Amino acid sequence: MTTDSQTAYAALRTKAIESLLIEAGIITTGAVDDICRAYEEDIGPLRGARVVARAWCDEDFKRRLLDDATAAMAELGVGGFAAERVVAVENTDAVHNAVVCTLCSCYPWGVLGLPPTWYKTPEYRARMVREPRAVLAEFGVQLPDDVEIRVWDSSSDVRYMVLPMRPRGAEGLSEEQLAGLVTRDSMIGTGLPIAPER
Amino acid sequence: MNGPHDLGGLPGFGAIPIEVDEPLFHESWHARIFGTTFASAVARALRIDLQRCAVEGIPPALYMSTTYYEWWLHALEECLVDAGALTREAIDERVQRLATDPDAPLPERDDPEFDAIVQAFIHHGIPAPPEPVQRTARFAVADAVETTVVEHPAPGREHTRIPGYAQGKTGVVERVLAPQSLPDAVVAGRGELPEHVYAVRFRARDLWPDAGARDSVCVDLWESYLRPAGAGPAATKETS
Repeated sequence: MTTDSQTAYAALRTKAIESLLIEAGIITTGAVDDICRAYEEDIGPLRGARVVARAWCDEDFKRRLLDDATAAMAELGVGGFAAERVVAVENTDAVHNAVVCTLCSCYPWGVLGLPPTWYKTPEYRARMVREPRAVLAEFGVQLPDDVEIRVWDSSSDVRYMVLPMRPRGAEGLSEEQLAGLVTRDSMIGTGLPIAPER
Repeated sequence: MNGPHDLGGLPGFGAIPIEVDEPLFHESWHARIFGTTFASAVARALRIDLQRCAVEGIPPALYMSTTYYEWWLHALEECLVDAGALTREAIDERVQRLATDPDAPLPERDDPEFDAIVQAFIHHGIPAPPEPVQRTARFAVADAVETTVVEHPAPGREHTRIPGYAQGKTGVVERVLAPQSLPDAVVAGRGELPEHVYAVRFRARDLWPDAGARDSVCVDLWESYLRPAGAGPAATKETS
């Protein structure tokens, strides 16, 4: 529970630290704005969606992505902070992958942007490793009983992204149209791509 | 459990609080603490392992009743004071001054070179060490491994990246990952000790008897957290 007065105090304390760091010559006046702007305007899940759409269209790229995702994504200019080393894990009819960080909230920022709040909550971090099927159901994802759910607990500097299965009925769509079907949650593993309109 | 942060598998938590179309930051100060922490890391005034360790030192009741960016604020202050970059007195004094003038403008300091390094971090990540680590991996894909047990962890002073639920268990190497500095050693002041990291796959049932029979959990574990399976009585690891 966070009260308004705690919020006001946290805001003051944050500003005090930022001000003192500027005066100490450690950071600049514009640095915090620059950083926030990059994640607000530029670095988001559209990046990962482009990677997934390319993998759906190009078998050779998909192979490179599963072999060395960091290098393959760099071909599309995707990467950066908290995506220095990325592993892509492929969903199949037999295995559904999903990502969590139980110890903090590690997430592939350079591929998907900053994580949603639920990803950082004790609820998700505690439950996803132990009862993934129940958690996925809360996200509206129902998987057949014979599918293995493989949860990746992101405990090192390697960041994981899920390569979801290409939805049925997406034949004939362009790579750009396919990217529009790739949701953020489908690359975390708590969602599936959007089914194309028929 | 290594500390209040070590949540994997803990029972009793309710529904995931899913928010549709949420903003990137819910409060303007969340954006400021995010950016200030990021900029401090760029300036090498803050190291992520130490930041995590500081979060882990929050008393459990407080950890559970506060949220992500409150943890970040606590951790940034702890790390900057520990490193001698700022003093607690200076922060307290500035908070008092700002309380009477919360909209006071930030101090002015330009440094195009620093701003360029910030952009490089955002778009290209933390620079890799100039020399790749030459090391032979002890384990290979499909090797069975046993994990260490961290005894009497001291959250906030000691640090490890092996979750409690994965300690003292047997799993199989799923992937061999490039060497990374051992976080335990960094926080203990023992410097850079790069080791191979392995994505180790555990049967969920071997971790929790109530888990799905088909399901599995993969955890990235440093080489020194592991030993060959079946090599005798489980070794424990001192965290001091």
